[in-house]
Amino acid sequence: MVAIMKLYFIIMIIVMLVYMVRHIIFTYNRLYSQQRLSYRDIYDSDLPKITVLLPMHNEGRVITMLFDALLKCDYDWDKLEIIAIDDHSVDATGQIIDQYSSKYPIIRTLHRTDPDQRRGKPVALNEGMVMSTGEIMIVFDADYRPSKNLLKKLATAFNDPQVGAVMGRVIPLNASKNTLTNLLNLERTGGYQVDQQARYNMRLLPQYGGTVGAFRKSLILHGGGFDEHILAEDTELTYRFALDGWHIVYDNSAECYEEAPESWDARGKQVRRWSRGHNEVMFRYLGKTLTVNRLSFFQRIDAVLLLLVYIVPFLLGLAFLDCIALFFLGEMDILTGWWIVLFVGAFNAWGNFAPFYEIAAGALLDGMKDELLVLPAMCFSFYFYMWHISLGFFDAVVDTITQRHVEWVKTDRFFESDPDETENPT
Amino acid sequence: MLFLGIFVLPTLCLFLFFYPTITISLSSWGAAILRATTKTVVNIESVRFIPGLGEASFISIEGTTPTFTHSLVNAIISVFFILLSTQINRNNRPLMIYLSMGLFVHLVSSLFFLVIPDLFPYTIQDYSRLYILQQIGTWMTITVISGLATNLVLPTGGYKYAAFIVTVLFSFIFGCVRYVIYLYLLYRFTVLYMAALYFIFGVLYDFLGMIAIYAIFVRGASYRMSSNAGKGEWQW
Repeated sequence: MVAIMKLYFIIMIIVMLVYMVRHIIFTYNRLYSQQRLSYRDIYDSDLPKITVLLPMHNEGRVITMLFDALLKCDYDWDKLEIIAIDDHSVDATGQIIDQYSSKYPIIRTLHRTDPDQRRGKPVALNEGMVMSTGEIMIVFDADYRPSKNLLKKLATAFNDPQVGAVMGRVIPLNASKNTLTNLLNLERTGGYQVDQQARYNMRLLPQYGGTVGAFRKSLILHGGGFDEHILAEDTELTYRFALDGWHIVYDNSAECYEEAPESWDARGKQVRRWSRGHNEVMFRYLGKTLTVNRLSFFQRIDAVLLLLVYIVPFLLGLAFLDCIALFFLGEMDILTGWWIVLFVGAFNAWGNFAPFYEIAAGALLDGMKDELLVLPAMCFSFYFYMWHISLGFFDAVVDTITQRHVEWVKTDRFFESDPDETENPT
Repeated sequence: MLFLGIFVLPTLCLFLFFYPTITISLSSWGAAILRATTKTVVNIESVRFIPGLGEASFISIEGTTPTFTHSLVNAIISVFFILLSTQINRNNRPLMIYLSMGLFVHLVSSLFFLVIPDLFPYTIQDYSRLYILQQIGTWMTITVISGLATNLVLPTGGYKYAAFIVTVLFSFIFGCVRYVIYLYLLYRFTVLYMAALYFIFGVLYDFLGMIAIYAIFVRGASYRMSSNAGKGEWQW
């Protein structure tokens, strides 16, 4: 038994080192290698007809900001359609989208009010796709605010017939609100500016993130639409497309601004939901990813490491308990104390969704300065993530075993639309 | 590569080849302080470490095990604070989860001494030996991680060298000072606190310090690169 416990401990150290090396490679690539350009920077051609899907549930507080930003976007309105999906809201969401729809013909509405209907983002997207007329679907959550040229940047990539999905960059709008939002801003910087761009540069697997992203409708409908029983329809799309040989593009210049959670409670719930959904996808796709022939060796390795991202904190928590047990069994002596150093060093480097040097690289590229001073707080937020991600992992295990139906719970909003700032474009 | 060759590799070699000298100096210095503060017998012992590179020295000091009452009080206090931490200000949730983990480790330790105190596998000497071996590893790990991270991200110039030197110095001084303080605490307050010191207040703080220093220097570099003097210092 003790031998197994030690073996597990050593395996976890190796796993941590693998992730550390992976992120060092990404950081090096982002800083020193040739960067792949956005399609929009390479050519400017006819743009396809696009449909912007806006799944919403009780988003009355923030939705006008998204509408106003979308209506200001630089895209030919003859080729633009916006479908606002009210998914069983009990606030003013339904009335607000009706008001906008009556004023702007490009905005269509879909009210999902039948109490017997299944709720949630995947099912709302499926219904939205069926009524859409565009071939390219672009999805936004209600608290996002696209930049003026975002739609063009995302849509242009689809002139390449091999591209199945495109992901843009997410930037928190409320980064200076408190320590949490500052930390999330740093995480996003490391995750998008460095991690996603490096994976795109290296022709690995950039991740489609479910919002600020676009995909070909026909590919999803051909596969029967989004799986309505899964919480992470974005991760599922990433792997479905990649395993079928479609390219996923990351466009670092396609910026969209989001409202980051401002309370640890909201963040905990969000991360738990992500972990639950991501791990459900992991259970389904790990075997296929390991055996698929369409991916190169390195693509496959990276795809597997990406799939395992939300199980690693749980495994680390287990390793921590393992370590305590070994200590009280008097076995730390045999490990001579060295292993825990590597273990702690590695997981501090890996820490959150991006290790500290990757975040620092992104922060330098973005010109951040004083924001960096909260970087050490990552050491503590790691424990927070370990706890909530582990809970999400358990949820996913129970979901898979019992085949229970999952309920989609959206993240709490903190912004309030300011009527004085709401402008109607002409 | 120059930075790695001139600074990082020699520092790594310094810890690797001179740990016998470093640990004997640290132990002599620490033993002198502990003799003066505890008025008890403090010896220096050595242990074989890396074959061919010499023995590592560590401080040997007699310790005590906690009484039943002492363990019971600690167990009750741990449970109380674990419960309290679930109710405390939610704005500090990460810190609370971290402290709860520490309290959990301490609770396990207290229960261990309540139930099977004779089976506790370590003395202060064992802890001291483990600490020294681990600290050598920590210094080397910090050297490697800090060297790679600074070389990777910080542009050429003073920031890179300064960040690395300050980090290694911090880790070295912090490791030495903490060694003596922890031995004093274990001597004074029994080995009951060994697990918490090992797991929760151990090497985590070396890495915390490393990241804090790193953040300060990256911030400085970012200021410089956005200034007129720093423009063009690094072609991205």
